[in-house]
Amino acid sequence: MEALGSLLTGFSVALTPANLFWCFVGVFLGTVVGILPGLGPAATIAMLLPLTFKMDHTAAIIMLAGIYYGSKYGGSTTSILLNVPGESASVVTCLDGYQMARQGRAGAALGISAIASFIAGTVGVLGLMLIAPPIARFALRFGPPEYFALMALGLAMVVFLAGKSMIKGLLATLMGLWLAGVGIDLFTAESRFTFGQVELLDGVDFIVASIGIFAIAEVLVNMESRGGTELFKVPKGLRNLLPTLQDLKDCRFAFLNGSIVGFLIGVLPGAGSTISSFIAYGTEKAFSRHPEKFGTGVIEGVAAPEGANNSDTAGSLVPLLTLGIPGSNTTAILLAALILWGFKPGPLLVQENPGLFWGLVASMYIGNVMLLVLNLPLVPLFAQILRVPYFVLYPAILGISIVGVYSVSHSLFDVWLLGIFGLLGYLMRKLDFPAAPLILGMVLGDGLERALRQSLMMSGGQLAVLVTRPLSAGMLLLTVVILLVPLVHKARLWRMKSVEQEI
Amino acid sequence: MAAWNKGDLASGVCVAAFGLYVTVESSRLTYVSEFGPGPGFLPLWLGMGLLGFGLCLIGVSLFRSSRAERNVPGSPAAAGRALGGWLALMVAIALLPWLGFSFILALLSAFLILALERRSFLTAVSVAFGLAFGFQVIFALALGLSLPSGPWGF
Repeated sequence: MEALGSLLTGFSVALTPANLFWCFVGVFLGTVVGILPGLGPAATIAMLLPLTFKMDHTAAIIMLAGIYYGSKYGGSTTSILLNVPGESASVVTCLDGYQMARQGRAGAALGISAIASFIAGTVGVLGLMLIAPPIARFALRFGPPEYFALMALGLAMVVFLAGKSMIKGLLATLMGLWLAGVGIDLFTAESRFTFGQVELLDGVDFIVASIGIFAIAEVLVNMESRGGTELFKVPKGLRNLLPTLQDLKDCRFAFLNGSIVGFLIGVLPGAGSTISSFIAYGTEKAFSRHPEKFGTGVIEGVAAPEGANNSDTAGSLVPLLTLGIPGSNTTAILLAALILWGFKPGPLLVQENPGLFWGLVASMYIGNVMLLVLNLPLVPLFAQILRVPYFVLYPAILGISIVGVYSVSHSLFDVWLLGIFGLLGYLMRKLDFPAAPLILGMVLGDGLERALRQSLMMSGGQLAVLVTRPLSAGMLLLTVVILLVPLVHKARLWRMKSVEQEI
Repeated sequence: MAAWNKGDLASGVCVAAFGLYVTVESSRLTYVSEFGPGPGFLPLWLGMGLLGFGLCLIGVSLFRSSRAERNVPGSPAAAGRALGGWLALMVAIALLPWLGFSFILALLSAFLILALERRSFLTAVSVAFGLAFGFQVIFALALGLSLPSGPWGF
């Protein structure tokens, strides 16, 4: 009841015309930023930060948070339409979203992405409102062994991303893990696998690899056919462009899965929305009645990760606002903003500045509604992109990819890497190697190695530290179970075949 | 032996060789330091994993080739077109610092449309100009992103 009373106060703050205006500005900018590859919410918030010094602080945090969660809505657009991930968290959306677009269901994919984002975003805000302090305290119990176990659990998702050949899936994962280790070692400052290139000391940005492997490779595959690829079908009429009732029914578990997984992973500092989207996708496939169809354009494969990366934003605000701990680049900039404005993010923030905290929570409900209203009518407009002839579209995709990569680092070396990853992605496609496990390895590699080495430093080199703590032991057990599932399944198939042959 | 399995065999050999390289390079890095596992700790295991699974892939491809013929991937001509497109992209990237993004995008678009798509010269020029102009307006002017510029300032 106390929370409801506080929320009403929050709505009285958020519903003022000025705050509504700044909320709209934030979510609109966020959507645009999400659509454009490379220009992320962290860079946008950092660029806009100086402009907020003269603004009312509640209005400013409402706008900046709007950019943060709005970008997650927009991130799926280019993933679905062009196979170019607009945001790192939207990489996994390419897997089924782009396949849906190829089958003439781009509108349904974009629509379900907006709806999943709305539902999961709202559930995430509910979590932020109701269970933030206890969840944040629980998250603090995560030490290096627990983080290692979480990363291992994330890697186990390779079972669901590997496609036809588990060996190729594992090889792609190992390659991704190796790529994540390129550059200066954080513990000893030794350089690894830099081939004498100074630019590689910073490592390989996984968004460069993602855009190369998904977008450039897709363009190269389409270049194979002379005269161009046929245009994707775009059905006429709004009703045919939006998800059907059956789609919504099929996605009911995906909405729940994305909401819960996204929020819980978001609360953990450093875990990140990309991991939450991969885990939500893997969970969805694991519990699906038709797991074999994932990757071919299954609508749940879009709803689960898109929901997760939106719920994750509310989750990541939990440690920021209740403990003063930022869990990502974007929340680190939000923390800097709060401190610059004179606030002290931490356990006392809610008591000392109820208007700011509850105003922000209420604005996130409003912002989610605004985003749904803003995004659903745009679905038919965005879907028209697919009517553009392919000979116009693919130079444009190449241009967007170069701009996306160059705008992040202003490094031509990264543009070279983009081309190299494009060729790697093309060869992987031709040789039937799955791309998603490579990206998964790149996302998790850095955190996995750091957590493992910290754990072993804590325990004086004893691996037992990973299994003697209940939380990490539980997650590692789950990891082993997930990894064994395909083996058990194969063994059962072999046994059934041999029984049939005997009969 | 089917072409498909040749692909698996070749990729298995490449990955195993790469795994061997990673293993050898990692063994030169510190495996365990006084603070705990060193920078060579994880890469060494990754290298061995790449080598091991690469060898598995070689084994599986040899085993399968004697049993069943599988799909053959695209024709050499099709792969040639894709690789031609990729080479054009790499040449464009090499010229970016000298000619600037807009001009390079126009050149690349025109080349791809003329050489690979076999469209008319007029179509190629108009699409190339339209894209270069559109990108300049959206990204450089409206969003203020700094893109590589040529001697003419864009």
